[in-house]
Amino acid sequence: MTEDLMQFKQVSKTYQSGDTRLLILEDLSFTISRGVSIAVTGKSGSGKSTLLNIAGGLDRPTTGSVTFLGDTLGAMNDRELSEFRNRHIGFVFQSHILLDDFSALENVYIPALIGGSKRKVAEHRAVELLERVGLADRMHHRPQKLSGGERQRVAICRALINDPDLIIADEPTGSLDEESSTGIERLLLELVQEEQKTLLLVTHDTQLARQCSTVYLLHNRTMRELA
Amino acid sequence: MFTVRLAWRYAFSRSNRHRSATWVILAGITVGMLAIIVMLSLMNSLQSDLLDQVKSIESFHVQVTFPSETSSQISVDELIESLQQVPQVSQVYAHVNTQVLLQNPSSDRSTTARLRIVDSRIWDDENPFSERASLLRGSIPGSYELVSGSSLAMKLGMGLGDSIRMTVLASGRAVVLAPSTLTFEHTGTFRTGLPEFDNTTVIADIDPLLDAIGPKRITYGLYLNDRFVDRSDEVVREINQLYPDATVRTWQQVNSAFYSALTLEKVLMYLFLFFMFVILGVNMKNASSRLLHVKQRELAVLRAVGSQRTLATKVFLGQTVIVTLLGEALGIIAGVVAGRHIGTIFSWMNSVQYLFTRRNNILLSYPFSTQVRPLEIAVIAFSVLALALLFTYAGCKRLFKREPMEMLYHD
Repeated sequence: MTEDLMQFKQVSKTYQSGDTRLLILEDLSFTISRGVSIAVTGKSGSGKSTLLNIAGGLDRPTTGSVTFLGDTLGAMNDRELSEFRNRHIGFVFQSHILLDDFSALENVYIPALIGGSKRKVAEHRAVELLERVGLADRMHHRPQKLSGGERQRVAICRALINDPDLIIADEPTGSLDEESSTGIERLLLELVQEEQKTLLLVTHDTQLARQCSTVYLLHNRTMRELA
Repeated sequence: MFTVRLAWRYAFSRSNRHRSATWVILAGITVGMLAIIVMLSLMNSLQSDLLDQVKSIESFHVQVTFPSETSSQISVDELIESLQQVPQVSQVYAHVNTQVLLQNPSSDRSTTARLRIVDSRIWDDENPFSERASLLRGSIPGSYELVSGSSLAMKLGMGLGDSIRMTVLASGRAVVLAPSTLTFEHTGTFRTGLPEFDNTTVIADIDPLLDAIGPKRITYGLYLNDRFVDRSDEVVREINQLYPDATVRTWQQVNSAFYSALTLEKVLMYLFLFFMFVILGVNMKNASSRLLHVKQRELAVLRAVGSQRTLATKVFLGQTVIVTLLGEALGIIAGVVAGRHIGTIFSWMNSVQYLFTRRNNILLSYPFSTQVRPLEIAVIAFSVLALALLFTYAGCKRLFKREPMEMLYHD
């Protein structure tokens, strides 16, 4: 029997914009089991990123609750939530944002340093990951010297450095050309499989979505599973 | 540790497009600290020298006057002896200061001046006055003799041996005060470090004039042991216990207007230099605000990988601490070195000026010395740091309050 990693229970999210209340998510309930890969698709502005932020502890639901391995995220304070993100979540963003003032290698092991790892241990693991994604000879370059695809590979390594339980990827190939996108998609899914990670992916790319074990469509503030 | 590394990189990294602002701010703080240390240490030295002259030459360390009853009951010598017994007191001199009209018949010039009648032993004893006042020519005044300040002697055209007519206001028979003219022989000229004193003062011996003056007008000038000069309150208490009706005034009280002016001058100098740092602070505020705007997406990612909400605040304030402390350290080193070699620096500047103008600069030729006070530097350094942190926070607070993920998704 697979273990439940994360549970969304009747989660709603509204934003206040002046006098207007914007309802983004309404009454979402679903479970993410360990080891699965879930793709969430939907139109722009349908609330996909909000869903990921709530899952990653970067935002709180207006009503309802999200639990991770039995712990309610809403009950955690800022320090506990930061620790939760550092230990259990790996983020991959569409715009592959890296820290300009650090090398690719340093960018990868920064989350490990934040988590309290020793630098040598963190560096060793970062080198391993960068070698696996084919960036062995580029690891000491600054982000400005890397291509978009290379930067996204660095961002994927950064997401994996702390051996997280859940990888949250927000349109990871959205800003790449077709050739780079295919490479990154394959790499992400391979790594997730090899490392036996759980993946929560937001994408417009139906090809990529089809490769995931479950696909949800976020439409009109609610989610339904696609066959 | 990571926060410090990040702050360091944000300040100095080659990939930071805003690092030129960091260097400008760093240079500004260094130059500011250098200027403030050199100026204050020069000022400290000049002021302390001036105050030293004032309390040694002009006013004594403490002055005591007695009411008529005490003066008529106890003789001058007894009072001097009694005051001399106070443990902190080093020497006591009875003296009178009075305004006079001086006439030099040989040059046919006259002027008003101040006559200080004091025991002539003051020239021979080891005391602050004899250390700082030197007889340029002639001899110590004896009976009905006087010595004059060098500038005053020049003004009146007084030569050694000239007969000087002195008109004073003395108690009259029919009126309270009546002019009375005495003749003194000019036996010498002196110079002190106080040009004003040298320009206005003649000094005569008190002994032959004591009866004419009367004990009521006498003030007793006290020199204190070195370590009590700036703690004269203790002496005041002791004397007040001995003579509750005596009026005891410290050199600060006697010269209160002058002392306040010097203090005010220093405060104004502090203010002037403080504004220089305010300008730097505004620069810091703008630079931090610009940098935070550029780095907000990076900070959002750092938040996503496990940093706490306070990270941005820590990084930016940390960056300010690094830049300010570095600038201060360089400025302090440069300031102390410049202060120690101020004579050489001014002399070099004078040589450069001479090359172009063929004239020596009197100001640059003056033998300046400096007095660096570590506590003063520490207070300035701390204030500059606090100011820098305040301005950085002011520049970033609006962005610190925003949730970084908002910036990431809504940029």
